[in-house]
Amino acid sequence: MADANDASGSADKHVQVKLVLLGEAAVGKSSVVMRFVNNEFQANKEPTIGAAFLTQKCRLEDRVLRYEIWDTAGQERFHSLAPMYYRNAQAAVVVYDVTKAASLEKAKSWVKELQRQANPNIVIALAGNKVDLVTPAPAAETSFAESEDEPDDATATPGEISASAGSHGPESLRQVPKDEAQAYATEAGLLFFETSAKTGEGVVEIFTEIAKKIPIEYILSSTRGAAGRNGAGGARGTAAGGDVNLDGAGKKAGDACNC
Amino acid sequence: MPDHLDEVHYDAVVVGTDLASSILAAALSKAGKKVLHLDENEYYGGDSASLALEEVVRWANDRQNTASTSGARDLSRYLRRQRRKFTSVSYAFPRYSHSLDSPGSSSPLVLPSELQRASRQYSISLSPTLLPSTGPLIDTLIKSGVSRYGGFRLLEGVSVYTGDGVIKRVPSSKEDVFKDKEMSLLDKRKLMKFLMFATGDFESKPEVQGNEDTPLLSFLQNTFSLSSDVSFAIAFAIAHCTSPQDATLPALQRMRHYLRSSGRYGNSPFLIGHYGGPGEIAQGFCRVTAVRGGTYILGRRFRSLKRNTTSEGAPAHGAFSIELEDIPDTLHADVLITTRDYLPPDMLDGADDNSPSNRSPAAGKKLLARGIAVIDHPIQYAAVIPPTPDADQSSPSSEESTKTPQPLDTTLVVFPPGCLGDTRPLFESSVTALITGEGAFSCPRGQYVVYLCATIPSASEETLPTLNPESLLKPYLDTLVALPRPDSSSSSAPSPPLFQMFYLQRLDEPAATTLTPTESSNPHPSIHVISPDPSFTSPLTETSDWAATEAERVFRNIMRPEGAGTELANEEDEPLDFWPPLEEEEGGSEDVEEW
Repeated sequence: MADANDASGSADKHVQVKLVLLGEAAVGKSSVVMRFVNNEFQANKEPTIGAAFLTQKCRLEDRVLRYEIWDTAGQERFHSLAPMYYRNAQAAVVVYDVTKAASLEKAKSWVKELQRQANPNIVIALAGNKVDLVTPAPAAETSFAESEDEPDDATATPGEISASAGSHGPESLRQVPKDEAQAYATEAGLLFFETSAKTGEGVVEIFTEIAKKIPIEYILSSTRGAAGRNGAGGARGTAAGGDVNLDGAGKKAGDACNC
Repeated sequence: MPDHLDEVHYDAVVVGTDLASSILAAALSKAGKKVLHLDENEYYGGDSASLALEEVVRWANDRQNTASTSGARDLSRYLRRQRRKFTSVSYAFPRYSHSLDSPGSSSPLVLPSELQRASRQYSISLSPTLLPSTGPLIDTLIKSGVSRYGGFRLLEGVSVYTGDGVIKRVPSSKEDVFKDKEMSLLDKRKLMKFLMFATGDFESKPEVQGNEDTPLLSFLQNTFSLSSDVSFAIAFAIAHCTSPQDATLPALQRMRHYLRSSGRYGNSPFLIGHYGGPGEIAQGFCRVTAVRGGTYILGRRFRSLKRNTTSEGAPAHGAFSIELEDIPDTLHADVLITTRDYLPPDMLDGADDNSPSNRSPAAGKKLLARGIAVIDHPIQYAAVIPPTPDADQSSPSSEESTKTPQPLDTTLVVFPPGCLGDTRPLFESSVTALITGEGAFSCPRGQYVVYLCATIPSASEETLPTLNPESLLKPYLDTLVALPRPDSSSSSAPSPPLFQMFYLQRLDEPAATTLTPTESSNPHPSIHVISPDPSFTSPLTETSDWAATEAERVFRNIMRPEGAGTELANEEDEPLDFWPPLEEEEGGSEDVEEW
């Protein structure tokens, strides 16, 4: 209870939102995040090896959210995603690849999994990525932009290869019609965008729309902001208030060594 | 479409996702090794898993021998060993028992639909643990950064059952001792003198010399003239002894550790991990491994796990090959790290699985009797709001507070040996009841998970069939739920638990010969066995630290620079840090932070 004061203190101006990424391998999950995170801050920043999660602020007119974005780190491949991954997630981006019909089916099963495992109030967005591959891009843009590369960070699933445009006309690559995905998203109550991590199309929008839909008041009043790092971010009934931050309080102990 | 792996060769394969194995996998990944991490269960955590209620029932069904004995041949080696480790498993839904009347049914009980719907709101631990605020696991959590993944809260209170339906709060600090209203001044002075002694460097003190193996209880009463009540509270609720015979020196050392842990995060030496504790922490370490490029495959049975035998030198593909169901590729690894649950008999090195002690369940072994119950009312209360830890809240005569006392979320109630009048010789053990509530994210609001545990020093073949964990532990559960409640003046009978389960857990003796590469007699230099927890004396408070210590021990053996041959020797000559420094501390002011 020593931490009760700074835990409940309102010094934290922005709200922490844990956002999890889901989707089949090679649909560009990491790329979408790298676009979102680096675009606003440092365009050419190299992806970090072994980033456990990335954080990025998102400013709306009346509020600032701080996204804590969790990548699957490949643990989804053999259905080995830990329950911890979903815990306290207030938002999810489920990514599929517009050039691979099967990836939408996989996305649908991830949505089901989220509805089963995650917080019932989670805001889910569906992102049809790699839309640059199916839209005729301005010539100037394509001349220097390589095909969309999965950033080479350690969370990228090994061996993922990006789809290449090949020599066909762009539209012929599309396997998921936009209205089909839109219809599914509407029916399932998801936000929906087609995105391109390569050109940036739709990426910021998807995070902004999620931010608008997040019930911030609810988060502030009824759940913890982020997986325990801030202690009890808010009361969850009478029980909250006894949480501790392991990293913080240790400094006080003069003699932590007991060997 | 079968799942193909992009890589079939790994530096190390770690089999089992229990806490120690998960810590080790994370350390190896951080040291740059390519790790394959497997578990036959569909959940993380192995014997230290945190499970949803539905998973607990499935876990129990898998370990009940009643279900088709004929099918036992189809069981995997892992499950066969699990069935020897966990015996006499029984569970029930007492609250709902009237509605499911199925007399004489041997088929597994069905989870009541109400609990089925809420199943995922439960995180029930197979290894409920109090985590000392200082020590190997806390250090490991902080240095590895895994502390940021999990949430923790302080144990809010420790009480001792003193008989006749009364529990008494154990002081958790010197201030508490001073404030205590029941203890006489003389007793307080004696207790303070002892506490000063116990927090110091007592090993060379004359009081201890020659008394190392004396039972702690008599040491406290004879050397420090402490009263019987105080001695019991110290031995069982502060030093966490389990038997009146527990020796003085190790108990004093444990106690010093806990006393010095108090104050680091608050007025208690112990933390409780959210979502069931060790199982959730293990997932955090596994995530570290994955983020570092480790591969995870859960829920697949082994088709084979064998050592590649070539006439000379290291085989081209690595020393071990692994075949898993549903995975078409044969996987290879240079080093195998596993618990004994998975190891084929021919790799067990002298500790053959068919040895007499292993053939019959729990024969001649140390056992834990465990019970888990879900109840929907609190057990312990702080006397007033805001909580002050100084009053004897269980005494119904304290009428000065008009406000309803506040229920505590995470508490420990210790039953000293014999306090319920149980004089069975096998059962000269304390019984601990760890109670965690919604604040520990272990169950829905208003409910509490009660973990009962008793150690049984040794069970012979003859006595084993007479050991019934339910009949051993149920009286303690009944006593606990019948404790007077300040909020209900009516003397209505306590409502039965929503769920209860009892079982015996065999504590494997640590391997007689640890399979380390230094031992020339060891024929399998690249097999590293994660030893089972030897801390028989106080499983509740010692198990978590043991996991970190054991993981580090195995890590150092694997990374040993001079270890030639197939070991994963470090390039440089100096041994690696178990946890290299974190790349970057949290800045807090920047827009982008990566860890």
